[in-house]
Amino acid sequence: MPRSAKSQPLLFGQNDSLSRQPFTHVDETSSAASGFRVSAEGPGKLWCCVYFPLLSLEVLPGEDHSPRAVITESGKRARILICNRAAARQGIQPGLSVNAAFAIVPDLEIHQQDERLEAKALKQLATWAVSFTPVVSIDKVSCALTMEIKGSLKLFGGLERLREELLADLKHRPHRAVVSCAPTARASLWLARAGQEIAIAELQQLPGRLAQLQISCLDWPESTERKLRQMGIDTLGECIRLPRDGFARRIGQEKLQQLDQGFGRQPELLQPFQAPLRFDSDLDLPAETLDSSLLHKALKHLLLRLERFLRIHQAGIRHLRLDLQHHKHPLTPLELGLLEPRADVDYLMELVGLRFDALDLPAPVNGIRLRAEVMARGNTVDADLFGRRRAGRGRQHLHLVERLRARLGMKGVYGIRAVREHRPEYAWQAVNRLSKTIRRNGPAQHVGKRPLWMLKHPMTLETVEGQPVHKGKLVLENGPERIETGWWDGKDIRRDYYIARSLSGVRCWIFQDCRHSAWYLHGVFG
Amino acid sequence: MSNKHSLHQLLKNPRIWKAGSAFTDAAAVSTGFENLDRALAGGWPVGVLTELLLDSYGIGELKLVMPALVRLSQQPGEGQGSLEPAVERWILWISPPHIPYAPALEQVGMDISRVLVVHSEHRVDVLWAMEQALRSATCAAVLAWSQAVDERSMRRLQLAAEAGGCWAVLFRPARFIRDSSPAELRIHLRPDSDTIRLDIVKNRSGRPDTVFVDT
Repeated sequence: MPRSAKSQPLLFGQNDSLSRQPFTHVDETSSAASGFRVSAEGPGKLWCCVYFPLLSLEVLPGEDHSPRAVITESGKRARILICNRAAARQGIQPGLSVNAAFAIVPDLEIHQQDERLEAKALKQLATWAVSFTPVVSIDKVSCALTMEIKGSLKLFGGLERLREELLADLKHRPHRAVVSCAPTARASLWLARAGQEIAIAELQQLPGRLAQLQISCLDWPESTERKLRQMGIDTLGECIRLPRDGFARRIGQEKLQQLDQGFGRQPELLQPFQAPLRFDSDLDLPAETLDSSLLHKALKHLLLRLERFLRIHQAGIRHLRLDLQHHKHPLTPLELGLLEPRADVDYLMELVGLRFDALDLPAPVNGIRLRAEVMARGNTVDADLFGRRRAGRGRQHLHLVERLRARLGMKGVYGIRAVREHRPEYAWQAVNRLSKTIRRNGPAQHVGKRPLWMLKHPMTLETVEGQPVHKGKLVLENGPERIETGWWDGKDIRRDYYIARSLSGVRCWIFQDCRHSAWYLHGVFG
Repeated sequence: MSNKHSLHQLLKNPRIWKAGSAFTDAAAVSTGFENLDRALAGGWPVGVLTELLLDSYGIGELKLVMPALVRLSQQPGEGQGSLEPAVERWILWISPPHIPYAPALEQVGMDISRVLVVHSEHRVDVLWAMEQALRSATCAAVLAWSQAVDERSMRRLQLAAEAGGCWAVLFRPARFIRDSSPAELRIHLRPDSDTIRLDIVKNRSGRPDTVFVDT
């Protein structure tokens, strides 16, 4: 009587082999002893892995005719990560040390691995991949995308059709790709990395196919791989036949878990990729117009569309761009930034209106396009249960900033901050990111008395008989306070500061530059 | 007994002004100078437009307003009920003649995270920004520096100040002292050896007066 696969789960630390079943097609009778564990990824899923073996090289600029290679620092020595075909033909292979590579091919062009570019490329690819399935996950380390495609099979008319479309799309991209499918995500990655462009649909077939793979497809550290090879283990099948507890002790629990995940005995958690949500909408005006009331109406219409979109996605925007289209004229762009995500059309309309009024339109407008990237998901519209908008009073002080910025520009409105710096002109900073929370500064520095007004640039003072004058004779009341050095950034100073009183009763902060003894006015005590 | 009680009730009515007392009920923020507080009947009036007229910037006008500004900056935000977060209130500087120097403001104890500086080339924008700020009711204090402001704009600002209920100060050159102005408090500032001489030209809640403030 064959026992069900679910009835005897395999536990960690049991002193039996990883799996005793023969690595061919599994039939129920032989799996009885193995205790094949059905994972949560189980029979319902089918994973497709798109692996980009040369991505590290492809993202870098340059021609591909000459021998090129990407190197990575592993431990003390730099090694070849991947190389192009021209280099491979001359004998370069991954894992070779850089010195050895240069000995073989002296004119080899080497590049450092740029993980930032790789991540960017993968993100773009993932954005493309969402057109096949909503479940896409990026594997940055392996340069691969894993997608769950079971749910999309019906739409595309079967696995074969889906794969064809995938490959057809990939042909237009500048990346070499290997596409493999398997019932578990990790297994599909192993297959792709082994270069096997096959599709395994059934979980039962999986162990048999995986068993033949070389352990190099696991992408484990070199030392681990060497250790396994020294034990005489070359394939996954041999690997999985090792005793579990010994394997966990020698190779690592984490690696054992990876094997379990690949063979579908344990669920694997993948980080889903979320495509950025964009709003893009056009509105063609029935006739060209410069009438601001008509344009306002059109804008309102577009913003209402945006609001509906945001409400559906429970999201807000922080930035929007309007393109006003003209006939035979370059379009007039209008951009608006917000301090926090918003989805409230009346408020947006007010800000856009402020911007719009300041705009000088070169020609009549015949169309408007509104684009916005949704920044924050899960940010609800300010409305109560019955759709009435709340005033949102806690944020009104930010609204003032946004309103002022809409008319005066980003640079016209700023906060200020004290900086721990001895040179007076660098001891303060304008702050553009005005947040809702209070910015706390450290305790004030113990320095001399500082003026409340600071001049943007020190003003040269005339001198009479060596004494500085500013609207009459200046009487030095206090000082000098020597402020000097700054050689590290090339803005070296050497100044003696005085507090001086002018005839009109204004207290000034003046200094004498010690290097050429000229006098300057730098601040006013106000 | 009942008559006395009803009289007491009647006197509590805010619409009744007793000749002996100044407008102490009117919202005001203490200036930090005792004699000036007395002359202004409690301090800088809040919710009206204050005009400070002076010949050149830097004679001590900032030191004059600084104690009140420091106090306002340190005021904890007002919460609207227990569920609403506390509201931060800005201290807005509109087109100041120089840079408000952060280290010095910290030295006098101001919480500079509340400070917001607005710059604009255009006179109209300055007035617009001031009106917006006053009406928004999110500022504890609005300080603006402007040259010529026509009477109509002044009236708008005065109305906005009433609507927003914040301390509004407009710094103007002293040559405008002869012009009529709807501002409820007008003070002419002049340096006088080590003190500032304040000629209170117009004051709703008191009489014209001259005060010397030692900053």
